[in-house]
Amino acid sequence: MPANEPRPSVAISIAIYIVTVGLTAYFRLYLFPTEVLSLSYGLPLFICLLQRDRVLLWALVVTFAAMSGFKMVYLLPDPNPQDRYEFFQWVMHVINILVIGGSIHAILNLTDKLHTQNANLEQRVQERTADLQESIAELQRISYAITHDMRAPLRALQGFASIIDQESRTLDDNHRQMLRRIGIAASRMDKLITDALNYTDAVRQEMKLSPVDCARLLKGMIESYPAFQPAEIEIEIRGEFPMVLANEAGLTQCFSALLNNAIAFAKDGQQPRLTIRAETRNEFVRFWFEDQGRGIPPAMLPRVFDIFSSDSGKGEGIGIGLAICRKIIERLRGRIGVESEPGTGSRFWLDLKRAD
Amino acid sequence: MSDSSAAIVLYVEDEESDVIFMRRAFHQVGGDCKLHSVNDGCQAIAWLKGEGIYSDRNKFPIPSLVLLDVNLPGFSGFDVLLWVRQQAEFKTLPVILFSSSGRPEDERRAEALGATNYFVKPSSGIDFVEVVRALSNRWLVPSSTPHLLA
Repeated sequence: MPANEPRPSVAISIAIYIVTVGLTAYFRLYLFPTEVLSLSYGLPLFICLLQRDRVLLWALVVTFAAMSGFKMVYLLPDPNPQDRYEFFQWVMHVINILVIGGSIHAILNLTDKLHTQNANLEQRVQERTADLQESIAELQRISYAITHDMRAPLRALQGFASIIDQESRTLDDNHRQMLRRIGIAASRMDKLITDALNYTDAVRQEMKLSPVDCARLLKGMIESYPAFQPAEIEIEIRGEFPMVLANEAGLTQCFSALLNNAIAFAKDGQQPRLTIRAETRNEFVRFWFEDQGRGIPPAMLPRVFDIFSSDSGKGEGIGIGLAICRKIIERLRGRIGVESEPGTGSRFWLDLKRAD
Repeated sequence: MSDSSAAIVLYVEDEESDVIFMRRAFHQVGGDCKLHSVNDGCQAIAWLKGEGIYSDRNKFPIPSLVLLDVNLPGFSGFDVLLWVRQQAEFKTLPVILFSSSGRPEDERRAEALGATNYFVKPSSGIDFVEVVRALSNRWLVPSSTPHLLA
């Protein structure tokens, strides 16, 4: 009996014992056919299985066997063939009762064993899940601490390089150029670190869904981010944008990655241009981000949303932006994809659930 | 309290380069402000308490603003902030957390512990001047510093 299961109630067991033994005795007294008599053994024994009560089981087995045994012994000395036949019938009854009792006992043992094993398994799963969660949390702490600590030396590199560049009177142009390269390399590394932190945040962050007006969100971004203003990129928001079920902070990050991508992959010497429009597709709204940039080579196309996959447009570590974007869209229960032709531009699309 | 009316900033920072950048920035745009620095949380608390060597208030005056790095050896910036806010005399002392982390949970934690503000460290040391400008405009003008008025 597994520890967490309540023990069968003694009162109920006694009641079952009295009722079933009483019924069996009644059937016997009034000479019911033996088929009915078998049922009057079988059913009570089956109830013991449901009750999971071994004491009741063996009390009934012994009583029924005794009742039939008594009848058997009573018929034994009689040479009458009819009675002899009946004698064997009673022998069969006793064997039946013992076999049924033994089987039910075995079933009870098996189910107990199963229960115990299940409980152990459950506990093992819980223990391992806890271990795993702890390892993940530890890894996150470590990676956070590493990336965090890496930013301090980079800040020093960039800072001191700039100070020397600004204040030194003796540097020649060649050395000044090298110094600037140090600054640019440090700044790039810093961008990679912040991107990696953003990616882990996108994976971890809780994303509550609420209706979002994407047109308003995009217009707000264009107004408030210097990088997305008309001097840097020409953005046209075309047509109606139905409300979608999403998370504003997540979408801001995602749109920002798509806008940055259009800037980074513009054709050399050309003003980046991006058209954004929306169309309703069943329960989804599909947003199109169409640029006229350099496009993506077919070989790169399957990997553009992978982390650190793309050779970024202008060496700014944009490789991670689209990975963050996909992660966020997946967490918003949406879909993302791209169609592209080298030389003519890329069309990124994302599907988000309609809010109405 | 120092007898000078100029604001006094205590910068708690273990990164030597960041202290250098902050000194430069204060020198460039900090006006009359005096910048002092210590390199861990224990020293910061001892300074504020006026304990041991810090009992000489002429040399180690009570600051009008504390600029607190978060990742410090031993006591973290959050621990120091918690201690500061538990002291009745420092309830209104402006404490600004200054961290490399832009994680929203760190900002929320700082706010919950009673930080006056939370600044993310610029990615280049040369941009510390922007931080000092922001500090000067809001907290380092003597007449607008709550602790000095108190």
